[in-house]
Amino acid sequence: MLFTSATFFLFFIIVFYVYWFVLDKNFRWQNLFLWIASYVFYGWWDWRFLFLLFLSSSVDFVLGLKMKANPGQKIYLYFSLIFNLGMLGFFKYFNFFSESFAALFANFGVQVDPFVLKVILPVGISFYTFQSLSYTIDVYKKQMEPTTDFIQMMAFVSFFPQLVAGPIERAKYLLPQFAKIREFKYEKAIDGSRQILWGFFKKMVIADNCAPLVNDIFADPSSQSSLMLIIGAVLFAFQIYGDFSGYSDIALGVARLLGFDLKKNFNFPYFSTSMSEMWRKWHISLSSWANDYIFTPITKSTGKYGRNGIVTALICTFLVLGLWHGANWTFVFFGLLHGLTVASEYFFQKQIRQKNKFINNKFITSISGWLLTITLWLVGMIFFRAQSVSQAFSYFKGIFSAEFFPKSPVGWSSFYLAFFFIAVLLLIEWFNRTKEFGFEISHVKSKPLRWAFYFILLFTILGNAGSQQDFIYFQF
Amino acid sequence: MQEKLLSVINSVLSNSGLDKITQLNPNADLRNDLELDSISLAELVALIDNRFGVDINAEGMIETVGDIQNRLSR
Repeated sequence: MLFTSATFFLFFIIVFYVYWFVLDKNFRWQNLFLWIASYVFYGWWDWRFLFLLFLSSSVDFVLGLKMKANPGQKIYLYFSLIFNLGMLGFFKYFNFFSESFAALFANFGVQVDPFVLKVILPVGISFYTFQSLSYTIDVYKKQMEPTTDFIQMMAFVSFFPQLVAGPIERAKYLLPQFAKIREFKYEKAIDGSRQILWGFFKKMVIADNCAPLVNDIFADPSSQSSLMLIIGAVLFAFQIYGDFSGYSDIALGVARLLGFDLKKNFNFPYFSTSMSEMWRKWHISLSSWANDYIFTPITKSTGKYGRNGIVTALICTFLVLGLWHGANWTFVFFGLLHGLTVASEYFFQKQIRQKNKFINNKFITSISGWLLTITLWLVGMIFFRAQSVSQAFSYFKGIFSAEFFPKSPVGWSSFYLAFFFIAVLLLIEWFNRTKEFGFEISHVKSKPLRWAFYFILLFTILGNAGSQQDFIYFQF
Repeated sequence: MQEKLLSVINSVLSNSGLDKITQLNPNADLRNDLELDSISLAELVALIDNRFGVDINAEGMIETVGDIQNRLSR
């Protein structure tokens, strides 16, 4: 069920009505209802995978209680890690590793037929697995008490606004919200509605208008001019930003309408002046998850090697982050590139600060930092979007060796439209970059002016939405 | 212990190209006041583990200089 579909619109009206007006302030009934609604939402794609969701939540619920009864026993934590990561590994990575091993053996002249399973990737498995894992890890580390309420646990792991594409919520932050009465607050609901509207703009106007142009360019990079290849990378960067941060905006807004607060997942990342800053502002819930549960534990082993140990931990973490996105070598390259750039920034931060002090002009250092960051990001985006590593490299080759301008006529009007809306997006987000989200206009005192903004945005969406596309991050 | 801790913190600040501090202020926030990011904080935690043999992150993340002093004094 896509957030941008009429089905979801109807679904949410029913959920909202029953949740607030039928079940009112009985939060236990509301939790049960949210659990059922979330399973309907998820089952709309493929009901067969509901059992995985149920199994993951139930196992971690039981393990949480076992940890409480037997404090310090690592066996329950290991069981949770093996079970969750095993499930993720089986459904997401089995074929990738099987084919990669066969290819490796083939390099040594040994022909091995890869054992490939015909399995479908369950939607959002990487998101809810990580969310469920955060519960058992935090209970083990005594950073939270395990819940004794099975329905709360089920509703927490399957909470439909963020179930299939995040934000990946920490149990210690979201779970307690299921254990108390939620109150409907008008201001909060209005704020949530604004964020949903902004999310729709990003997804339907930015991402869905960029998508067909990007698809055409990436379908056959070898036939494209250098200019079109650069435009393809830029448009994909905005497609994925509009798509994913738009989804997050809608998720946060929908959750707010139900009385929940989710963590901010994007903080205007495209204004970053370094790759480290970019990763503090892009998919924040994943990068902070990786910081706490991957990077920090690795530094415990590698930290004794000083700064080299930190660099090693960074590269390992980014390799995992890359692979988390998908079972393809393109994502490994994506992770490696980001690991190397963030590690370099860390290793040379003293020299970078000294250089900035020497230049002594914040505008120049910010612009040069931004240009370098965006260029590196676009390189990463090419790996991210390419079908294979060889296609990515031929894309880079094309940028530097093909004719600069296209020989055949191009339908520029679609490109102008996409770039016009990208400029609008950047302009609005720049002015609101200190706010919670791009369309946070509660500071506008005049009510008619606020309503004028709502209608302008609404009609912009209705009049300029591209053809409906799946959210990119659903595949992860 | 305080001098050793000051030297460890200054070593991380120096590696980061940040100004060294002359004394330990327990209320100083590691991120906001000392301007350490999460990677430099990991370097600090690892360095303290090496010098003092104490994992100061074992009971949750540290936020201030005072948090470090408390965990080292236990």
